[in-house]
Amino acid sequence: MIQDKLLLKIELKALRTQMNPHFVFNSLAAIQYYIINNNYEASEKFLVKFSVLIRQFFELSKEDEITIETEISLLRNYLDLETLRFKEKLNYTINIDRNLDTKNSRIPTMLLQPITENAVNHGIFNKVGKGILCINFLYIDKLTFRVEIIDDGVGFLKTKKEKTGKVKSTSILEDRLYFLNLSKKWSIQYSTEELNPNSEDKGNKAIFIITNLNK
Amino acid sequence: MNRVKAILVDDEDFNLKSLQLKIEKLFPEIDIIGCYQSPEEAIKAIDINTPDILFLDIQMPRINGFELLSFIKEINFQVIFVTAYNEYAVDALQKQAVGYILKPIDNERLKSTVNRALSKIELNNENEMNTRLVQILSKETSQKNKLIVPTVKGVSFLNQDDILYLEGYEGYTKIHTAGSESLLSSYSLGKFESQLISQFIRCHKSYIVNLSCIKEFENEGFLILTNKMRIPTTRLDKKTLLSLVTQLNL
Repeated sequence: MIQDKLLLKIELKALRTQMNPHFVFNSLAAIQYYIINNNYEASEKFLVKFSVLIRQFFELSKEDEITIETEISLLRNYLDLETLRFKEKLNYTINIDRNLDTKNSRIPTMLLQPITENAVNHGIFNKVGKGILCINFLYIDKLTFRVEIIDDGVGFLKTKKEKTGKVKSTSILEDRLYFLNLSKKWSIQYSTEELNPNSEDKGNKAIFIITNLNK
Repeated sequence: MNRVKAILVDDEDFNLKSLQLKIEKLFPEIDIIGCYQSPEEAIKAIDINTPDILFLDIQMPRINGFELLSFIKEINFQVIFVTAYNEYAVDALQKQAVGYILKPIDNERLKSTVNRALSKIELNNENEMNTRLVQILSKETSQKNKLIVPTVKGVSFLNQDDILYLEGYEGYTKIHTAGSESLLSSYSLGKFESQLISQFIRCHKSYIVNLSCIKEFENEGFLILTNKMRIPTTRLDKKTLLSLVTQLNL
């Protein structure tokens, strides 16, 4: 039993620490651009933001779970960096339900980040023109909350068609959810739907319903 | 060295600018004829104005770098992939790319990859120039009845009227002219055949003679030239010779 639990923990840890190398190197390339152009201010700003994010990634990858507040700050830092890179192509908003206790409610680490990254780097990246990303945190009851990650990009079907296996993060997520649910600490339902099934850019709406069974 | 034309393709504006700045600084011989963020526009531009070098991002919206190449009708240029992450490196090299550069760009890596591309271009140009030179010259000179002969020293231009006969010799050709010494060329006899005017005839697998220099025809199968040289003839009988000489008004 103990061994099983240990194994479970290791599995989860391995699945958690996935930082997309494309994101890392593209960010560094963006910093290089500001350096080449002698734009010290912008390069410094970018570098510091990037360091903050990397630090957060490292620190949080040690944790099994974090507060919603911390998760939101991580997402904001990540999205701010992507906005520097994507400029006006990317706009994002994060809405938080007033009833949600973000300081005390917890969430498994790095659960939302890969989906958010997918929305930006596949959905909006492949879209012609500007894209909007919206993340909603909604209170359901004391133990349960709902997170929606919505983008008006090209949609999942279109990106999934690509043969290079870019939607790696989705299968990692599936594995992760499987182990999290198995641990009996969490009950997490995950689903996706098209945002605009009738338009060219179908968009994507990812929904998590997360119940903390620890409390 | 000639000017080298380059096209840059990367969906991210500042990657394009970084690369452009670096190329301009490090390679004054390269003219950047276009920078494209949209893969679709890049495909059109490449087909209209072929570059010598294409700097190509791999991960782009809608059409990735590999797909972009598959849309190009004829890839007669050097491809250098520029990528943030090297998971595609093997693919890139299999696509016959001259190399790939990682972002952020390292100047040394950029230099060595571009230099490799430049030397390939130079080699191709030289080969192409040789062929074209011979083509142009042969057009020019055939009108003036000159024969171009590549030799060890360079290229000689001979008056075809002065040539008595050409002799094939183990893949080389010896060209005998009236008066002066014979000339040796590394071109085979066959390569001269097309350049020669109609008064030359291949009478033997190793000999082409100038019909206007024939003094006698021997029934045993020999032609005697004005310099008394005896040339064997296996491909030419008396009747054919007679009709040729009549036709040519010699």
